[in-house]
Amino acid sequence: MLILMLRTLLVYLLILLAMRLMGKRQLGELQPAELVSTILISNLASISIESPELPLTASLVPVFLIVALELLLSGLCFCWPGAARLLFGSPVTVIRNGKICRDTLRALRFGTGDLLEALRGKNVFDPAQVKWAVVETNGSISICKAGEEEPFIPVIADGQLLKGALQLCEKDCRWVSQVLQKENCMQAQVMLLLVRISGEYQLIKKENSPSPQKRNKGLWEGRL
Amino acid sequence: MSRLRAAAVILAALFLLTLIGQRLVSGSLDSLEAGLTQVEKLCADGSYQAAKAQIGSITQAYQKQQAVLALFIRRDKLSELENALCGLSAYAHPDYLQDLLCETGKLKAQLNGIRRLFFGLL
Repeated sequence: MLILMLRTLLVYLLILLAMRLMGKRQLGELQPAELVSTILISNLASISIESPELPLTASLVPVFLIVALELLLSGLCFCWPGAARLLFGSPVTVIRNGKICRDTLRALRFGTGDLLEALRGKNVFDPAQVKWAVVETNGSISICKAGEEEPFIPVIADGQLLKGALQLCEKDCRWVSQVLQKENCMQAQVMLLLVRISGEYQLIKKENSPSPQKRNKGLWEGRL
Repeated sequence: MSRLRAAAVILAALFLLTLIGQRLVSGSLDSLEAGLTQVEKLCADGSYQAAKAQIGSITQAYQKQQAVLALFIRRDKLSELENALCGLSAYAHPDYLQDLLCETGKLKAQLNGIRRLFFGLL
């Protein structure tokens, strides 16, 4: 019994370390790859607790292999946005100016009922009230209601031009070049370029990002 | 990016553990099998005392390695192997030669089973 308790404690601590290593992304809404790794880890962790005849390595080796792969995959997605699109997909517009994009819904295998349910979850009962609705890569829906301020659309993120977003805000590459020229910076130097259909934009350069937050105790007391 | 370094360290540690496990398990099973073949040969030559001593030494060597092997192989399989090894010396007698050969054959089959369990991909 003591051995069982020790094994459980060891597995618990190591899984806690594994989840901590995977970071906060794992604790929020999950992407498909993260969901798969979380399900696998929970099952693998229970193996060595339930079966004392099995060596601890039988569950810990696969768990840590999954953790390492998950970390490498997130690193890959960070360095190559194309890999992230391939693995997690891209956000998709399903309602634009109150009109439901039926073809997009069909491609997502998202029924009208599903869409209405998701909208009701956002306190919207009439699709015509929605100016813009996007199905995010984790399956949740984000909406901008009619009458609200026009949303900003990210056109450049981490120095990468998002051509799909460019079409959404009815702009073209020439317009982006003009903005970059006006702001006197290169595309690679841009952390985020947010654009509204009206032409209003916000440009955040990479050098303007604040230095990493120090993890000191004062943070808990409200001091930075 | 420090997490990427952590991932690389984890992968390296797992790779090292796998290599150590492969070498340890393969080495232990090979030496056991070679010891059993030696026992069969000694008994066939009529050197039963030497065969008993050989069984004693391979049992002792196995028992020493068992704790480390338990990191990689199911404990129940290791216990079965230990039980079979401990009972082997009783057959090292001219009257029980056929039984001894049968038992060593069973032990070798068990060793093959463990080998398949550890090294088998499918």
